[in-house]
Amino acid sequence: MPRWTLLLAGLLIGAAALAGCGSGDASGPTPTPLPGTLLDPPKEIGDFTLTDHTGQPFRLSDLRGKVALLFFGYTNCPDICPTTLAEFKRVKALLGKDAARVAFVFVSVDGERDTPEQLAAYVRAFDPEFIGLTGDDATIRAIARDYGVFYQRVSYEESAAGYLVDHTASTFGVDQEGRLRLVFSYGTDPAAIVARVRALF
Amino acid sequence: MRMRRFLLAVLIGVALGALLIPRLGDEDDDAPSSAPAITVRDAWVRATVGSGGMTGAFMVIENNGGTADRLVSVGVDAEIAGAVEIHEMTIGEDQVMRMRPIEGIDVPAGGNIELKPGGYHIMLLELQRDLTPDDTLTLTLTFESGAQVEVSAPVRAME
Repeated sequence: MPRWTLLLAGLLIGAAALAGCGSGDASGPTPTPLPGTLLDPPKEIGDFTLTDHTGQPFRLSDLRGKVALLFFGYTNCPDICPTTLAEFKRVKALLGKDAARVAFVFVSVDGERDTPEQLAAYVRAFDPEFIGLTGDDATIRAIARDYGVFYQRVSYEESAAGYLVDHTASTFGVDQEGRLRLVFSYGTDPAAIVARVRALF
Repeated sequence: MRMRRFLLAVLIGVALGALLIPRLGDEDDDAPSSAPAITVRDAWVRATVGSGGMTGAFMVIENNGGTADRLVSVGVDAEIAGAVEIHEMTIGEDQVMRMRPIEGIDVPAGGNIELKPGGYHIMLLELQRDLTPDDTLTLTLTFESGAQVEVSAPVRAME
């Protein structure tokens, strides 16, 4: 493994600790709220601009008037990312006509490898209306901090993966005014997500 | 008297031998049968999109033998993937997903171990092409005992 990746990993860990993600707990970042948590009052979050899977600039505020479900992941993630997007697909199906009132957003935490083209192939494999967003690491990191999302590259000398990305596996619900309202832990029943989302209409 | 003792000793010897020989025989039978005791079912590989990626293979490994074994390596055609690793994924109380390469997976005697999303998986890396749902891959699983099992794993859509 090149020395710079070790250095980078060290810097990232240090940055995470400084950002208050450590919370004095050796297990890492601040735990995100419990499954299906309704944030009351809602958490004000900043608008952001990333690049969508068609290569166009995309603002969170473009989704005003819709409820947005966001998941942070990366396309090389073999396991929970596709599982979660498959669950988004089920949520969308369960919403029926109301699906038009909900945006499904996959935010990459691997801007280096997840180009808009790669994201396009990925999100479209699940649903042509899903939105993939990517950007530079500084921008993504600032957004992640807003949502309480932790992510960190991990390199293994013995692994051919190059690097893997540890990341928060929760799904986030943003209301029609662009405020953070819902947090679901990984594996939450799509029917429960639908019920929570409908309550935000 | 001496003769009787001698005969008794011979009898005991024969009796003990008779007891021991089938046991030894049984052990001999066990050794080869414990290797094919490993069977694999419900294998599948997640389809991919985009080049140069990686994906996971999942399955249930059953050990019907009397000896624990351990999956130590997996092979696949180099035209499919440049490298194969065994990974474990965990989600902590902090809801952070962590994925780690591991040395192997123990398969307990008379038990099974499930490689499934959210736990263990076989990671196919440096994919040479996209894997689509009409593909079927052949994976060769090698165990610590030396047992090798060929597994036919159909590719399933990402959903």
